Amino acid sequence: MNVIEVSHLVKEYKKIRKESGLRGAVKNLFIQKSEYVRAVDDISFSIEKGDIVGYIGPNGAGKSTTVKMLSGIMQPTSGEILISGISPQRDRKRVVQNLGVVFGQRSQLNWDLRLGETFELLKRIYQIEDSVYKNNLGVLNEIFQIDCFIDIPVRQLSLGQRMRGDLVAAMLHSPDVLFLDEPTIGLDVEAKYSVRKFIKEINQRNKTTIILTTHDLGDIQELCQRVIIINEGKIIEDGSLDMLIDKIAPYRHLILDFYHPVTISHPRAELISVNEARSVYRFRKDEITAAQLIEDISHVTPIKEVGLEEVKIDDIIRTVYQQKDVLCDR
Amino acid sequence: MKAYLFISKIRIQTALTYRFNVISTIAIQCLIMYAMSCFWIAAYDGGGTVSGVSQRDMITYTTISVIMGNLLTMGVQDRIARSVRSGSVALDLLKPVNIYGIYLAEDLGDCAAAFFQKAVPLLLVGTALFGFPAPASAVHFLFFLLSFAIGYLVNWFLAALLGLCAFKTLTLGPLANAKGFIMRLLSGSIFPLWFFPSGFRRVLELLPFMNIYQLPLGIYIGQYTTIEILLRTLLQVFWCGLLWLLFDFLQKKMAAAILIQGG
Repeated sequence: MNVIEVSHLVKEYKKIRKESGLRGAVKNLFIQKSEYVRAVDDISFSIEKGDIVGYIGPNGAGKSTTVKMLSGIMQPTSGEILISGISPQRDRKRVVQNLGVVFGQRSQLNWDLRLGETFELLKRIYQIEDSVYKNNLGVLNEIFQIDCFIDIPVRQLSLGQRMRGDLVAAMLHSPDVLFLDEPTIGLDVEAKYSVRKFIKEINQRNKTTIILTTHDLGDIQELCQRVIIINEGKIIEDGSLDMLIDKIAPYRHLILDFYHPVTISHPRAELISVNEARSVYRFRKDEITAAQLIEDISHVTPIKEVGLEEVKIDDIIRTVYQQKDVLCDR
Repeated sequence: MKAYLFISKIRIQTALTYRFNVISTIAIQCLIMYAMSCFWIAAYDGGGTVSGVSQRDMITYTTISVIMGNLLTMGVQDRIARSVRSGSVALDLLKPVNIYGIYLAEDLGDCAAAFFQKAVPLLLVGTALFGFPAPASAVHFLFFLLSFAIGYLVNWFLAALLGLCAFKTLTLGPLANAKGFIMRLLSGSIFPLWFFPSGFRRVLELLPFMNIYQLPLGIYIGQYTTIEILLRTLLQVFWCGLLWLLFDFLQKKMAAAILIQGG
């Protein structure tokens, strides 16, 4: 069953072009030139219940704009969104009742209150029953271990604690859908690791559908079965991470150390560098296996050390981002 | 409903923690109250009545007006402007509640806190300096309470309407100053409208501003006859309803055009 259905979504902004300098500033007071910018340009996708989908793209690609329209904060210029069959534009309150949202750069916790008081407030806002509330808080405490700082005013929490608090706040009413907008931004390695673990656990326990926007590709690798890549308002890739890797970079690197400097070529692998006794080969996974390659070469000369390198996910994503430039030139 | 009550409660709780704010406000407000009362004493110069109002009535008027001023501080205007500017309005909109209901609950919470923290101390100081500012009668006092409550809403809607401008302009700047000035001058909070020339006064009585200070205060000191009270309260309710409709209409328009700052 599809929890989220998006069809032909468009968001146009009217952007005022300001001229620079003092002269420009004076001119801007009287004449304003405006132009229309398409932040989101005809996007369609659907997401099934229980999926974790990475929604990624470079800065200004239209990620946050999409999330804001999905959550009913912003009106699309055209197109339709359905969340569990309800349009967030037509019935915002009903949609957000079943929605949890975390903005990594913006806390929904009240600065002046203790964490527990914010939860109490949320309990009333979402009209959560006493027993359900207690149960949920218990489960979430098990996952996030918030007990130790639940009585501290939010302004005194560390960033990692605050993020955990924000995640709990978004989960208290056990929503079916969770939007996480850069949930690991600014966190240290340890905190990042635990936040990822928590997200995974929530997804598995409650079958929560999660849309994750992030610049941290570690998040994607760890969490997402599917990635949607957006650039300049358009979806440019949509599929599993493996599929993306196969499509963009179906090759691997084999690093071989020999006992003495040699240059050995192979018909089905490309020798991309020779440095003293070290040679690096690039080969396509679908053409030859690493084992086969090693075996062939070891017939020619003995091998001392073997290393295998996958293409880095960062490089793949960068390649995808850069493809848009090609598109633009056409 | 529970959520809104809880928000008011939190606001009272938060207000209690800002002690410096309370003490300095009381000190400054006492000074204003004292200066204004002295001004009227000097103006009356010991005797007579002006437009049927005695010096004693005028001091009562001033004392109550200063106290009302502390109860009628509206956060909604800046709250909307600030949320729009910082983009946190997005977070408010992510809750299954009416965000303006939340803003009103916050203001009512502040009002309740101000009653205990500011109104009561100011009343005590006022009584010590110039004697107890008694209402004309118990009935007048009840009408005053009703009129004050409706006036509160009129004031709130005016502030909220101005706040909505922030959705378009991002800042309120001079608009907020202009509103503050107009309110002080035209609402009767400093000078009762009966001191204005009659033509000007008639215009002012048709505007919504006098419903906030002048009407409740006039009722308090017994300036109006019962018929007049009823008619004017009716007019006040009319203004309140009209502003509500206008606010609701504009608020829906703004929601459609919302732009969220900062990514």
